[in-house]
Amino acid sequence: MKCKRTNSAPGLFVTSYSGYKNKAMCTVPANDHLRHHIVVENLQLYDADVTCQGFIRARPPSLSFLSTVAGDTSMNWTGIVSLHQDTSKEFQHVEIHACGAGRENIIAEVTVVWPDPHEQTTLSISIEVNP
Amino acid sequence: MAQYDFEIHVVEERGGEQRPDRSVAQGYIDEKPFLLIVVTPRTYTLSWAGQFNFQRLERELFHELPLVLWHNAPRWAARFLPFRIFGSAALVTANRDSEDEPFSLRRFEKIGSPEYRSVLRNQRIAFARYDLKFWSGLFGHRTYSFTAANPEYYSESSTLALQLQRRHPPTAELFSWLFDRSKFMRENNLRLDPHVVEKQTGLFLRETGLHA
Repeated sequence: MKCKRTNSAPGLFVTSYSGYKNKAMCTVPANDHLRHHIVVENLQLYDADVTCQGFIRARPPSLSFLSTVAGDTSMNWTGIVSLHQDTSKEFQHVEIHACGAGRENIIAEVTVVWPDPHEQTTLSISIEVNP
Repeated sequence: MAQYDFEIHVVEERGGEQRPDRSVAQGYIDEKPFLLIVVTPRTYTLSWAGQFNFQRLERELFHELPLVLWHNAPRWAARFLPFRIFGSAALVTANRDSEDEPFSLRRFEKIGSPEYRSVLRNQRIAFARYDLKFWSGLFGHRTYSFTAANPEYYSESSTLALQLQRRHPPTAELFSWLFDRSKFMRENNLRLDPHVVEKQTGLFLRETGLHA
């Protein structure tokens, strides 16, 4: 499913998808919108600091974000959370709206810092969504 | 057998201030970093670059580790007395044929279910986390968590980590087990007296006062 993808680094599992009512859906519905979901699961034995970003890079874009969080724009959004060991967080506060034609890539970039072992990793996942 | 020094040094936090709820230290063999020790008020975690056979994952967790975690149990007793191990597992499996989902995460609240057995038998394990409780009528219980990264799927990492309760300090047998599963020890063909490491690590754990 091009609009739902996973990736993993040691102790980290990330899922990115465009979803409607928590179910993956690849096309923006005619009378409604999708949300950009990113699920981050910290499987390490250490707590983690997570920074999650969503991007639309195409110009002109055929999709745009709509977020009520200060600092987010129609082209990118950021979420930050601290995760205890063996816990997860699902970011899903950003709506995806159609604003053009043609399939669009939405990129999720997740950076995780585990302060105790002084380790850091970044995962990137690109999904394809139809306006 | 060549003699090597083992020393433990507290790792400075970024900014120079130590956090009140944890202490991080590095164990060095002959001045080379070998073992990371993270201490919290209730637990300590040992992590190291591992040399680990994932085909033996269950053997290691349910047979080998319980034996070396009992510091007060005679080895014959551990081998012959009945005990139970229960807990949960999170397994990241690698799907080389799938472009969209190259990894999957499967969580099992109870180890031993048919579904769990099927995943362990038929899937490629990229990362494993187990949170386990060992129980024996004679020796009481031990809680331990273990993670292992498979370098076949994560080229940068083969880290193994073991989290234990501070009221159960590490044994020399545990360090002997750890040395046998250490990439650093194997690659450098090192031999170290596990009693030396047990003594110094135990002392470090006792002297580390932390607040929850």
